[in-house]
Formats: sequence, structure tokens, C-alpha cells
Amino acid sequence: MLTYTLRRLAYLVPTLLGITLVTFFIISLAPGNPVDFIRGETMSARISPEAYDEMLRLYGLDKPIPVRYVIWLKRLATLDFGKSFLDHRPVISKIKERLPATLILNGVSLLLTIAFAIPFGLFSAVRHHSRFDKIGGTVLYMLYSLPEFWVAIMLIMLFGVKLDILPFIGMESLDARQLSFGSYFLDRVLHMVLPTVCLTYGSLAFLSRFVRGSTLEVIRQDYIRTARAKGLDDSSIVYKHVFKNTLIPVVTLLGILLPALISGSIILEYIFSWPGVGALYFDAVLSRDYPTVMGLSFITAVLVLLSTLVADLLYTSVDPRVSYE
Amino acid sequence: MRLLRHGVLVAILVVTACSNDTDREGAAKRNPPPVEQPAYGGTVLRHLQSDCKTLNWVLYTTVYEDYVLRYLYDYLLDYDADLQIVPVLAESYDISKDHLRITVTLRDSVRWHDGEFVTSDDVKFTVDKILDPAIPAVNKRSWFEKLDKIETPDHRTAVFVWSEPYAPALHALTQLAPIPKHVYGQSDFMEHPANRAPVGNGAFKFEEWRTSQTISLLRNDDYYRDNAYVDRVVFRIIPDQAVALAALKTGELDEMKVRQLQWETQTNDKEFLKKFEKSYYYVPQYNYLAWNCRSVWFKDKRVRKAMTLLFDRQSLNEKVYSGYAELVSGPFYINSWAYDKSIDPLPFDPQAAKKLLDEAGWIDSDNDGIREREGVNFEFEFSSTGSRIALEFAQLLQEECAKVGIGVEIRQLEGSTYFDKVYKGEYDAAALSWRLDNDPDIYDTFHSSEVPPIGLNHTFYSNTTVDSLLELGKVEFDPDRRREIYHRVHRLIHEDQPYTFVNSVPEKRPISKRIGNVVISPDGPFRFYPGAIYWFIKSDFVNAKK
Amino acid sequence: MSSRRDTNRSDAGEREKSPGFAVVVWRRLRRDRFAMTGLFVITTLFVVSYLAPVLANNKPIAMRWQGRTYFPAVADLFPLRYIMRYPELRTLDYSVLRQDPSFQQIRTPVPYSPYETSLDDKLQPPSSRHWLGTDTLGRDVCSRVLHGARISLQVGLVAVGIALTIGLLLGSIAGYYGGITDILISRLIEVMMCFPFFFLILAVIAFLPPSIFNIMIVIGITRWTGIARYARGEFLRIKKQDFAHAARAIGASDRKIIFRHILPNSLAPILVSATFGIAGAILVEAALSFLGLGVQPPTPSWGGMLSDAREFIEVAWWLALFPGLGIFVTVTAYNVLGEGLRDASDPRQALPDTR
Repeated sequence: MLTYTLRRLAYLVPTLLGITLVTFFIISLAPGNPVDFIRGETMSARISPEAYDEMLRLYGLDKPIPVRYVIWLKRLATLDFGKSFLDHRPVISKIKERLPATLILNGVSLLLTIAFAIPFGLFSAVRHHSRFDKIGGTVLYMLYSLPEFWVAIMLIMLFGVKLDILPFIGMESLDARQLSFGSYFLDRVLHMVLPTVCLTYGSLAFLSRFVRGSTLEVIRQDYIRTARAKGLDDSSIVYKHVFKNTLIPVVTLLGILLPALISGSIILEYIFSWPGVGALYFDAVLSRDYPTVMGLSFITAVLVLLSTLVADLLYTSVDPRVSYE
Repeated sequence: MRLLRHGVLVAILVVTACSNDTDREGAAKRNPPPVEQPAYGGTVLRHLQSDCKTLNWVLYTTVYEDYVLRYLYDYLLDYDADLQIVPVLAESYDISKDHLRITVTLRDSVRWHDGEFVTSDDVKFTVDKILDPAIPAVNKRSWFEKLDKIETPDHRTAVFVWSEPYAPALHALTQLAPIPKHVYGQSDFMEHPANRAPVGNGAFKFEEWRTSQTISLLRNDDYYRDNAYVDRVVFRIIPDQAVALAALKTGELDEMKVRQLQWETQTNDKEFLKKFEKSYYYVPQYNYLAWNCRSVWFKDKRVRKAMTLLFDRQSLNEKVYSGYAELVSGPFYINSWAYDKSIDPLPFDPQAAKKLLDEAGWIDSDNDGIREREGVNFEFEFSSTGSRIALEFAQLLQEECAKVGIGVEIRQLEGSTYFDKVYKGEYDAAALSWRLDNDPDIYDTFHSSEVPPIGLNHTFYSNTTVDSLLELGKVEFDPDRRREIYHRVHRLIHEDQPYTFVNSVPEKRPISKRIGNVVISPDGPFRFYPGAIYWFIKSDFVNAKK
Repeated sequence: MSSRRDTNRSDAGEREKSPGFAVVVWRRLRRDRFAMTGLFVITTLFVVSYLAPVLANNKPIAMRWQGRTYFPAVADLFPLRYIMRYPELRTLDYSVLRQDPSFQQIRTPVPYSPYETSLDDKLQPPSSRHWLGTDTLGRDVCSRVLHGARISLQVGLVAVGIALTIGLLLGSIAGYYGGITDILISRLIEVMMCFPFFFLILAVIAFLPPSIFNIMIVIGITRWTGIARYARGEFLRIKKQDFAHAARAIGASDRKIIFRHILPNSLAPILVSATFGIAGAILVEAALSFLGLGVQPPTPSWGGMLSDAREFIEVAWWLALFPGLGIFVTVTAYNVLGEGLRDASDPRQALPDTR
């Protein structure tokens, strides 16, 4: 087990290198550079040839791309992500101040997804081909088919403007911190309602159908048939045997779902003025803020790889059939 | 007591300025606010579409940062609501006979928000930083490139010594707000903690910046002029325009800049008009189509003129902007003295355009529906960003061109790529706009030495007469003669049509009626002194919810 | 958006190897009313979108001009060939022709092209003239929705085609050859999967300007990993089975084994994942449009139309409703069909439970 973990950890290194390499070259080769972007933003900027070159040098962009990559790597070795071209702040502090917002939104959404999808999937599988299964599945797919930005705007118009009962800007009200703890907490919760709903409804279909599939597999296994044959009633079979076994692939899946959720929230962060990393990444790419792009890609990749690793370890420790080989 | 008296004075001044403004320009369609006793307290909620990157005055680049910084820093000189230069942080200024020395005397006892005095050392420090090649202050540096040195004979006097006569020199001082030397001092300028927690000298001081959420400012009770009225100004960062409008309507914002279609379709119901005053004003800006004068199609000015004749700008103004736009015929701010109002924009005249194209040798000889000359088809690429306006331009042009046998392919590019192409001159035609300065010097955008990849003359426009006039304009100090020079430039550029000058479109900004003392200069409610500093919340609203 | 990634299961179980597998799947599918509805909707959409030029066009379907008969709208179905035959139609101004009372023509049901702007008619609600209203430039929404169907369906199909090609190719190579090839490709797949999908798309879009074709490529090259992983697993499994050994024993080439024996066996689950993939790709295009990185105007795409409409939901509901409905119906249909296909191609599944 320990060797397996260590080996998996060792595997992370080439993967991470690969990710950073690909990102670095894609973003560096893309047309445009931060200097042009700054000029573009301030259209009246007059810039002399010397000043232009000077700015390039200032950002370290006068060197060839491979050299820049090596420099970046060297810095990374000391956990230095460099400084943003846009505001000259350390990339790490920019990410640090935004990551919690993204994590809390995605975390809550993930929990909600699990809480709704697993029972729904289980029930669909047990009542395979029943009306509940078919119609429930179709309804979920219908939800999934609605573009989230559209749903978000509609919900804002309805609950935010027409009914005026739910806030839709940012994480808390302006006067939130003068409130008592109870009302402060409530205020934060209310601000989360709309973005969470929008982030959750899509992945519901995905996860519940997945649970349904893997439950069906389990149900067909011999030991379940035996249990049935022995006269155990359906519900106790489901809860005693099927549910536990269904969880195994679901755990693995969550590792995959995490990066999806993080990136899926870019649009919602934009609409709900949510101060998360999605918006940061979007701006960084558009303005060719290379250090921020690289820092973010690296950190999300690490998060994702670690979560997949944890999922796999859980998987192997839960399921005796899988060896650490 | 003292404060109150002065406060009333300000209010009256403001009303006068406002009504003047309405009569003179017709730009501000806002009625003068009823003279009301300003009330203290309350919070003004302003909108930022995107977060600021820095609140270091030397490093800022965007209009959003400008919105915030104008509350925190006062300029040496500034434009007032009538676009006249007035001393602000300076008590007075004096220009030497040879125009090479401007002596600025600072006001006595102006303090930074941390209690230190503002001195001429701060002024020198700021200019040094602007000119420091290791600091990317491009947008400000250009004004001081002709500056030889700054002398500081005493702590209240700063002498700007120019290396050669420079007509926009005084204007340059309206582009200079000192930052505190003792705060920024020796440590790393670009990453200084004060870049996110600035120490200013203005009517408001910095309170808090919550990334991508809010920036809040507190009234400075030790301001060297009359204190402001509201306790707080809070900027809320709301990137999506539709959401921001929803926020405005639910009272989460007091003002925002709205888009044309929002203005037309979503801000006209009774409820809205009861709560908001709709203001619009022509800022120094114009939209244009750029024709790359080095391309095979547009090197001939007859062709460029034909393109302008083909582009129905009048009906564009009426239909796309519902009349909220002015046609322009040249490269200057329509409300400035440099703009020659006697030059009429070219009309929409496809027949004349066809004739010009024929004259220039672009004829459809092989009957395939596309004009050609010397084996080259008249089919070009029209680059634009994703902005709706740019695309509308492109599509209207495409339609008219198709009718006379010119093929237009619209190429929409992502922002950074687009600017890269434009600045390198690697495009055929493009839809762009310039944001202008109050000074009409356009050397950098039309002089033939300023071509890409470095200069901003991205159409590669070249006209020796215009070149020499632009050189003259930089060194002519007599207002009448300088006006004459720029009027001639206007006429020549109009004849050459390196751009199709399309229009100038006003900014449209509903402002909540709970706000008093709103003054709208020709350049809008913010970009002058005192701008929005003396806004107040009308007494009936101070204690009301939101 | 890859929370909406294809929901194919990694282990689809053993499959029948008889040539009649497709027939069996089809038979099962036909009994699934939901899936058949989905299939019907998709087929209809394809037919309608293909016929868009003769359904909505400012050119007539048929007309007499200078003594000859032309079919200009029909010609738009095959634009290139026709224009070469009748260059004289290229600059014809139909609005001028129509002023002649003797001009004979048969018009399309929706007599507007998706590009024709008419600023006098902007933001008109649905009426007998404009069935689904007009947009901010006075273009006919009905015409744009019909032509947009073409683009949106195309984006889905081509993007998934690209993803399938890359995924199958790399996955099968890895699975079939194993060894160092497998390790390299597996690492590559792992690298790609760790990119949050939207981040990758953004990075690539910075590189490729957003044209229709590039959008398809971008979506395609960011969605192949699931398929590759699946294909690799299948190949690993199948190549150990008897028939592959047998084929090799009688001297069949690698290529032949792959194409003749292994691929057909993994087709059904791949079809399932492609169906879900198309649904996902259409949504991704919509999301990209929201960020201003989707299919470029003036080309109508549902995503783009919906994204433009979001500011006018209060004042012009028809702008958001109809393209939104288009996306909704199409994506639902694909998903329901995919679900049906999956159930139908699962060999261990008995005939529908009677319980």
C-alpha cells in the first residue's frame, strides 16, 4: 500500500511537468503579448520602440520560450510562482484570496449533487425500466439540456428582481459584517442559493445516471441474486449490499468531477460576480498574463491529481479485488 | 459651521455649471437639480464592470481605476466642468515667456491621508517614477517625454523645465497627481503594499479592497477643501452588464453606464424614470473604420472615399443608436476647439462610390460580381472584436459592399490577438475607436513616422503637409494659430480618408435620484474637478433602506 | 463543462460477437419509446436544418428571369456548384426585381435570409410577418433559428467526430501495442484529463481565432480523452480473447485485426458515448458563445443567439426562447437516445423487466 502510494506520487511529477509544458507553450505561442494588451487597454498609449522593448524585457519576454519555461520551472522548484504581469502581485497571493470562494461553491454543489444523485440513481436502478426510471431520467436530461448561463439569468430575473427575495451579487451583502453571527451566516447562505442551484442541476443528471448504471451492474452480480433467492426483500438488499458496492465507482468518479466543476464555474462566477478563480483564469488568458495562467493551471492540476489519487486509494482499500500492483 | 457655508457655495456653483452646460452643449439632458441643502451621511454605490488591477496612481491603466483614484488623489491642475484648466492641488502656476519653464506653487498645508504634508518632493518623485523605464507607466509617460527636469527650490514649489517648447505642456500637468514619496520610498514600487491600500490626498481615503467584490472609500475629514458629504463611496464589481442593470433596478447600485439597447429598451418604464435620472454626454471619443493604406485596395484615396460613401452612417446613427450619436468628419473631440464644425461628414452615396471605384480602376470585367483590377479581386478581410457595435459596423458595410461588387469577409478576433494585428498593421480594414485627450495633439496617430510595428498610425497614413502641420501643432502656443493648424489638419485628413470617421457616441448613464449635486461636464460626471466628490444623498434617503 | 462529459461506463460488459449484434440493438431500441422519440426528433432536425435554405431565404425557390427559370434558393443547398453554373445570379438584387409586377416567383415559407438586417424592424415581437419576431438588427429570428440549427448540429457532429478519431486512434494504439507506447499515451491522456476542461479550451482559443471550424476543433481536441481511455481498455481486453489470437495465428495484419475484428466489437459503446458527446458539444458551444468565444457573428448559432438575447429577456422574450428551445430539444433528444442506446446495447440486460 505504501509503495503503491509512493509510486503514484512519483507518477505525479511527469504528469505535472507535461501539464505545465503544454500550457506554457500554448499560452506563450498564442498571438499577442501582455505589452500589446496593456497598450490595447489604454488606446491612447504612445509607446516608443525602446520603451516597447524595455517593457518586454521587464516582463522577461525577450528570451526564447524554452528558456522562459526553464526559468519558470526553476522558480517553481522554490515554490515561487512569479508575479502577475497585470498587477505585479505574487501569483500565489492572487490565487490564495480567490480559491476559497471557488472551493466553497464547488464543494457545496458537489455535496448537493451526491446527496440527490445517489438516492435517485439507486432508486432508478432498483426500479429499472419503471415509469419512475424513464420519466425521472428524461426530466434530468431535460434539466441538463438547459444552458446554465440562461438558467442563471432567468433565476436572477425571477428571484432577484421580480420577487426580490434572493441576492445575486457576490458572496455577501455590503453591510454583512455588521450583522450578528446568525444573520451573517444566513446572509452568506442566501447568497449561495442561486449560484449553487445553477452549478448543481447539470451534474445531477450525470451522477445519478452513473449511479444507476453501476448499481445495475451490482444488482446482477451473483451474490445479490443469492440474497434475493434467500428471500431478502428488495430494500434490505439495496441498503445492505448494493449501496456499499455502488459507492466504489462513485468515489473514482468524484475525482473526475472536481476539475469539471472548477472550470464549469467560470461562467457562473461571471454572472453572479463571484470572486473565484474562474474569473481570474479567464482574465489572465485574455490578457496573456502568463505567470497567473501557469500558476493557476499548476495548482488546479495538483488539486485534481491529488483528488484522483485519494479516490484511487480509497477505491483500492474499499474493494479487495483491486490490487496495489 | 464653516463647512456648511462652503457646502452651499459649492452647490450653487454646481447648479450654475450644470444649467450653463445644458444651454451651451445640449449634451447634458439633465435638468438642474433643485437647490437642496446637502445632507451628510449615507453611501454612494458605484459600479465597476471589472476589478481594478492596482490603485497605484502611476501604474493604473483602466477607466475603472480612474473612477476610484479620482476620489483619492487630486491633480496638480485639472479641468473644471467647463473644460477650463484650473489649479487644484496647485495654488497657482506661472509659465515663462519662452514656454520652457512652468512654475507650480502647491497649496499650503495639504496633507496625505496619513498626516504628512504634500510637498514638491512628492511631485518630483511621481514624475521620476513615470519616466522610469523600468516602470510600465506608458499612458502617462508620453506627456513628460519632453521634460528636461523638475526643480524643487522649496517644499511648495516645483518647476517643470522642458527641453523644447511643447504646446501640450500645461495640459500635461492636468495629467499629474502626485503620490506620496514617504510611503512608496525606496522599496519595490511595483509590488508595494500601498498599491492595494493607497495613501492619497483627496476628499476620500481608502478603506478596503475586497478582490472582485468591492472597493470602499471613507470620507476624509481633514480634506484641504470642503469636506465631502457622504460617509462612504462603495464600488461594486459586477462584470455582467445584464446583472448590473438588475442590480441598479433593485437599488444595489446608484449609477452605471448602460449600453445603447439597455438605454432604449430597458430603462423607460415609469418605475425606472421615477427612480433614475437618465444622463448622456459626449465624451472625447469617436468610432472609425481603419483602412490599411498599404493594402492593395486602400492605398488609393478614391477607394477609401468610396468606402466612406458606401457606409450609411446617418441611418446607422438613427437606427442603431436611435439618434444618440453625432456624425464626425475628423479626428478631434467634437466639443473641442480643434474640431472644425464647418467640415461636413461625407454623405451616403453608393452611386458616387461606384463612380470613384470605376475611376480607380476597380471594375468587374469578368462579370463574376466582384470588381477587380490587374487580376486582383476586391475582396478584403474586415477585422473586428466581438463587440456588438463593431460587428454591426462590419455587417452593414458587408451588405452595402456586396451591392457594388466588393466582397467583405468579417473576421472576428479575440481581443489580445486583435490588438496585436492592428498594432502591427497586419489587417486590411478594421472597426476601432479612439478615446481622445483634452489636448488635440494627434501626432502619434497620424504622423507618418509613427507607423507600426511601434507607432500608433496603424493605417500607415502618410501626408507630408499633415506631417509638418502636426509638428507645428506641438510647438505653437498661440491658441488662435494652434486652432488654425488643427482645422487644416482636420480638412486634409478628411480629404484623404485614412479612416472612415463614423460617429461619436455619448455615454449613457442613469443616476439615482437619491443623489444630489450631480454635475455633468461635457466629459461626463467624473473626469473633471470636483467630479463626483460632492455628491450627497438627499435627506429623505439618508436613513432609508439602501 | 465536462461534468457533462459522456457518461459511458468504463466496463460495458461482454458483448455478443455474432454479426447480428446491430440488429439486436436496433430491435431493443425500437421498443424504447423515449429513445425512438429522441431519434425521430434528431432525424427531423437534421432534415429541417439541411433544408434551411429552401425554408428560410430571401431568394425565391423558383423564378423566371430574362426568359429562363432559376431555382436560387434550391441552389443554396449546393452553393458552390450552382454559382459556377450561374454567375449572373451572384449580384442579383431580388428586392429590385420584385418591384416588377410581371416578375414570377415562388418564395420560401420564411422569406428572409438569416443575415438580412432591417433596422426599421428591430426587436419586433412574433407576428404574421415575422413568425418568431426579429432581433436587435431586425433580422428574422425564425430564419436564424433554422439556419442556426445547421451550425449547431454541425458543431456537435464534427466536434465529436474529431474527438472520436483522436480518441479511437490513440486509445487503440495504446491498448493494442502496449509497452512503452501504452505508457506514453496513457501519460498523455492523464495529462489531458487533469486540465480542467474549460481552462484548456480557453488556452487553445487564445491560439486559434474563433471561427466555426476552429470551435469544432477546439471542442474536439479537448474531449477525446474519455474515448481514448475507453478504447484502450477495450483493446487490452479484446486482444487477449480467442478470436484475436486466432486471427493473428492465421497471419492477419495488425491493421486488419484492428479494423475487422476489434473495432466492430467496441462500436456500440462508442456510439453511445458519441451520442452523449454531441449533446455536450452543443452545450459547450453555447457556453463559449456566452464568453464571446463561440461561432462568430453574423453566422447564426443557437448558442450565440441565446447569449446575445440574455440582456433582453425582459423586453424581448422571443430572442431567448426560440434558440433556447432549439438547444433544449436537441440536447435532450441526443441524451435520451444515448441512454436508450446504452440500455439496448447492454448484452447482460434481459428484455425489459416486467416487474
